[in-house]
Amino acid sequence: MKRKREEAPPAPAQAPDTPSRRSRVRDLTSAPLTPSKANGTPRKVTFAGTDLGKSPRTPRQKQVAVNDDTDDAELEAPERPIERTANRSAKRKSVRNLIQRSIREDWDDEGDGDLNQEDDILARRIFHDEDDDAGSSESNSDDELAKEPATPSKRGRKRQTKAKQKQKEKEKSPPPILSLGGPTAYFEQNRVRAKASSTTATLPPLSPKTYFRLRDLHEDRHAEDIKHLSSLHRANFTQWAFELSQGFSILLYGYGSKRKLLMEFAKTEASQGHIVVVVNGYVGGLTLRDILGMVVNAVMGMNHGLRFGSNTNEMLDAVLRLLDEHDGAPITLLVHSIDASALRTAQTQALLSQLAAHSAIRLVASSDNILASLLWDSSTLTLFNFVSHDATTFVPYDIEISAADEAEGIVDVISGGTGGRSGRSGAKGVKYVLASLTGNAKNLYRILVATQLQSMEEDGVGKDKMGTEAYGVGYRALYQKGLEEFVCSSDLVFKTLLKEFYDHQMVTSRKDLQGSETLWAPFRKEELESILEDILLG
Amino acid sequence: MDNDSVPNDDSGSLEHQACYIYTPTSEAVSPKKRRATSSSRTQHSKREKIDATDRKTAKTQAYGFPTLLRNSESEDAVKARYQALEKLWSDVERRTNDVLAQVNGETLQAVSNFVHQAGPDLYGEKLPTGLILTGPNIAAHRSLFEQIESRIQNVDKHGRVAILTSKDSTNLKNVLKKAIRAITEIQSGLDDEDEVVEAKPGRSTARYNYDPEIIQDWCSLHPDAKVVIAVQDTEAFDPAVLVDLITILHQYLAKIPFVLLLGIATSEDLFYEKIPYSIGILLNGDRFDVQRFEQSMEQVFNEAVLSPRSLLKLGPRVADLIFDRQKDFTRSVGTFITELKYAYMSHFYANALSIILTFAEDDKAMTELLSNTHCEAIRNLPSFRNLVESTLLTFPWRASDLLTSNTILKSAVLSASRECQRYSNNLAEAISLFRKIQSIVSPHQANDIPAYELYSRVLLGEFTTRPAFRDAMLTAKKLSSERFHLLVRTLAELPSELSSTFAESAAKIHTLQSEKSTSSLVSGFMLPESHRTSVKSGRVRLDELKSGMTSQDTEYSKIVMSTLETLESYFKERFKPYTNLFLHEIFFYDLRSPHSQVFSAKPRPSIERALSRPSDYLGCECCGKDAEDGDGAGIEGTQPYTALLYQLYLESPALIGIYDLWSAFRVVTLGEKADEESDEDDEEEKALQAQFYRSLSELRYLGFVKYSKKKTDHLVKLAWKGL
Repeated sequence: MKRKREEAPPAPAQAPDTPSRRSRVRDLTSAPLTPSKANGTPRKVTFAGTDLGKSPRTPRQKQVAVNDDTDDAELEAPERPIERTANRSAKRKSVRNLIQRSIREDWDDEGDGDLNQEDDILARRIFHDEDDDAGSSESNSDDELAKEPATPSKRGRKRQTKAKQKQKEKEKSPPPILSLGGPTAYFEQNRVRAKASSTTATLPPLSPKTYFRLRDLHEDRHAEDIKHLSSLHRANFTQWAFELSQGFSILLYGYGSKRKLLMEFAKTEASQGHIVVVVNGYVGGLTLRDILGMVVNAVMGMNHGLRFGSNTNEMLDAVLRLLDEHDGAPITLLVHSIDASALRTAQTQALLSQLAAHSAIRLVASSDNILASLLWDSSTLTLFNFVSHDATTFVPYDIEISAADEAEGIVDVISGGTGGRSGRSGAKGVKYVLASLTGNAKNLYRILVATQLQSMEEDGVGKDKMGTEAYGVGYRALYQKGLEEFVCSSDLVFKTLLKEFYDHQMVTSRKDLQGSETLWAPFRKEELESILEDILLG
Repeated sequence: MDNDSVPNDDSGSLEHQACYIYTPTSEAVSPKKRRATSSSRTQHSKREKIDATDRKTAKTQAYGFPTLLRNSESEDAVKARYQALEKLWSDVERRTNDVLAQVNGETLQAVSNFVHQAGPDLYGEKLPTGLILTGPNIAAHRSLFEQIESRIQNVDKHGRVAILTSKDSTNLKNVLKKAIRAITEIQSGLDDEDEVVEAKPGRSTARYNYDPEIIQDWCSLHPDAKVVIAVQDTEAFDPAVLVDLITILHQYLAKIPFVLLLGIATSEDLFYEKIPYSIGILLNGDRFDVQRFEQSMEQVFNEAVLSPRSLLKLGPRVADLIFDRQKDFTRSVGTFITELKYAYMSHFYANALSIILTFAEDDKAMTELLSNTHCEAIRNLPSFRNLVESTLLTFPWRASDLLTSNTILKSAVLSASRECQRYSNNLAEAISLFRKIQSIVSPHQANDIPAYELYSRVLLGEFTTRPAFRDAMLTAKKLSSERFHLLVRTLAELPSELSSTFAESAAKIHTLQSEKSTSSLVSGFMLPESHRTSVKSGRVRLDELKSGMTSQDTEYSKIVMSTLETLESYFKERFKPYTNLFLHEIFFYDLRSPHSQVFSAKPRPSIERALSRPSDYLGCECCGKDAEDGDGAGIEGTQPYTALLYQLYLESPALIGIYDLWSAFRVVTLGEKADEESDEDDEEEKALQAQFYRSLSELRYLGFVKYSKKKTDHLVKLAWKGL
């Protein structure tokens, strides 16, 4: 609501702020302070048009229906208390911020001065919200007026009955996004509301150890409900087994890790005498060959001594032939996260679907990504023959996440090593990579890092500052230095050395318009120092 | 690979294993199972395995189905349901498969003939090529090519077929290897090294396994056989490889009788654009059209649903659901059959009364199987209520009998099941009659409304008011006498109760026609439109025309009139809503919910909903809708963290600062406490931070955000809600 109000053209007469100030405030809506203000809103972000509410298979269907019906009537009521508290807390926070600013002003970064000012405006504004409130309500009614064929006289009248209007407005106060559907909703959501704040504040890092300890320590207040939810899913196991027996494959979707649920299903399958092959799709290094190999193991036993060629297509053909002859217990293929990055190619999915289409294979899979269904074209879908079931479990994706993060080399992100920044491999990773490289490569990297550090030093940047293009080294310059120090003897050797760095994302480069290339190491100054130290000492 | 398969371990440590064979930890592994998984492949253990599975399937047959009616269903009834499903579905499946086999019959015949005739005398030095225009449904191509293969290879025995798909087209070597293997049936081992095929006696040199001369050797053993190379998906096939392949086939044409078949989903023109002219001129041949989707779909539908042998019919809502999806997305007969199967499955799985379907042939079983609970369940059906309410007015005593006596109810069930069958048979007949009329009356529109699209309208009983129906009737009125005669004659040939009436009218028209030998008969309805343009002159001309009508013409008009009246009343009689029937719940499957869920699932909205309104799923008190009486502040904070973060995410702009998100998150979760000065070393703060990271990672894993490359510490919003 708050946001909506600020969007409206400022009412010139009443508002205590000048229009220009107001508009700046508008730009800042999601600066660190505001989301708290918008506290009450997220729940209201539902669309009347979408049929989110219709999913008969979800447990507690009754309740759902009731929720859907009461949507509008009920949304008005909770608004007031939430808004009030949100305002209160924002106000308190802004007071605190004002004080902090004034204390810190002396030593704060120069680049942040602008921001401080903006923040101040915001904070002050919130602080003076009392006077402001009238203005904003007025502006809102203006907004409403704009939709009607507004005549000046009408406007005037409305302004006179301002108090009344305010009351009325609070009563109806339709949630802004609720009424929108389809493309309009898209633009509503993607509208440029505000720039992300340019704060350089980062989260204090959390070591992996602490993270895992705290994560495991955490007690979910919904534990009981979550347990109940999965018991509802477990009740469907017989149905799933029946569907599998009729030649369908099962695809589970919905929020929450379905690992545990599926493992329980695996247990019932195994108790039926089926061979269960479990595939952890989220594990990084997984290939289709692993899966096929495991299916062969399931058919032939561990030490079959069969050799398969390097061509996956031919291997699949061979496996399918093997399965034709297989007359033992059916094989249940349990794929956790079939849409995980390791299996995310059309080719893999196509081959997997051929495997799933075999009558001896019963496929049970779970999917997590919101775009999972884009993986399959009509011919793979026909082969998969999926029936989908909503298996929303609300169980945290702990295993899947850590595997996915590891696979992408950003384990540091989660543990705060780089404070959640985009650097793909942290400085720690660099040390490991360097340890495995030749002396020449190490020396080359040392030259790069040292040169970069030097220019950063000259610029007098803080320890937290990232290495950027500005501090980079020219390609030719680096090559020359390499030649001088006998690190490389030719351009070719130089390129080979660099390639290793590129592969591990230890080096980033950019070509400018003239085509000259600049290289730099994308790490913070502090990290660069420790890398340099490591190389010199090692 | 082998070290992946740690056989027996607690699943906790296996969660980072790429894949493994699951072994339950709690129970001891039964010896039977161990044998099944172990490598002993002796004859003995194999037999035992079969025995074991047989016993097992026998067991699951009884227990794969749940016991319904609050667990009071007898085991026999459960079994009967299962068997009913098996029996009815296998019958439907067999019949539809027969239809499907015939659907492509003509094409197959033509292709097979083409392959048979292809040879140097017809095509000279050009490579005989058949372009098979398969249509856009790529899911069906596979089965089509398999049909072609089995037709040429096994039925007509014209030679051997190698089917190549685009996934083989990585390089020429693979393509050739695959083709050679398919044609010569040499299993070149499981190794794919470029192994050398043993030199044949009389041959001095050994060959690589991708050498086309292997086929040449094979051909010398099978002198009359053609070698057919069939490319299933030409569009997806690597063009460079295709060009190479064609060149090679052409070069060997003198030695090996190659025939090339190309499956084309788009159009010929696109294909010609793709290959160079120099290759194009090497080809010569014919093109084959595969039957249109609508036609084959209608044939299958008539057989699977309308046929009197299919006891269970689809209800209008399910039919709409299925065919809307067909129209918009799948357009494949295969998916229709799967969805039909699923309808059968869920009907017998979840509806205890579905055993009534088995009584259609065997009414003795009914008295045994239909328990008192079943009878109670029948009395709970809406259609039973309708029945009682309607009988109450006329025969009150019968209504009370139905309510009290199970025997009476059972006999009512029996007659109702006959009635339902009669109704649906009549319906099928009427639909086919109508289709016939439609095809004669307006041939060019005949394909516009296939039977499966009429079906749901007809079931709802609203079809006779539809414009399509009115149009057909009106146009029939205005037909020329020849056409009308044709119509009546065709209708007379169709098996229906009206056929004798139609035959009579046909005969009459015929005599009238022969009496009036000069010109065709004119009915009062077929006066040309132009005469009605101006009222005055129209009247005059009309009178003129009317007076110009001979006695035969008047007679004929009467026949037209009466025929159409009979037809209309016939359709009105047949096209009554199915809901009037007692027990229609049993004979018509009409539940939307499992179908729409299972076949057009909406994973994304369901995730979005779970995250934006977690209480829908969790059903908890704390973050539910009871916000009115709560004190407001903590409502948001009690929701699961990922849900909270998601909602903050929805509020955010396209580029999200992690720190911004964190501070908002902190305020929301801590509520009042958030205002206190944050302490970096605070354990609680850290714990919250851990949760924040976890939730953020979850959102990333679900595909909502990714880390921005442009700006450090920022996230890019990837999804918007409500798509």
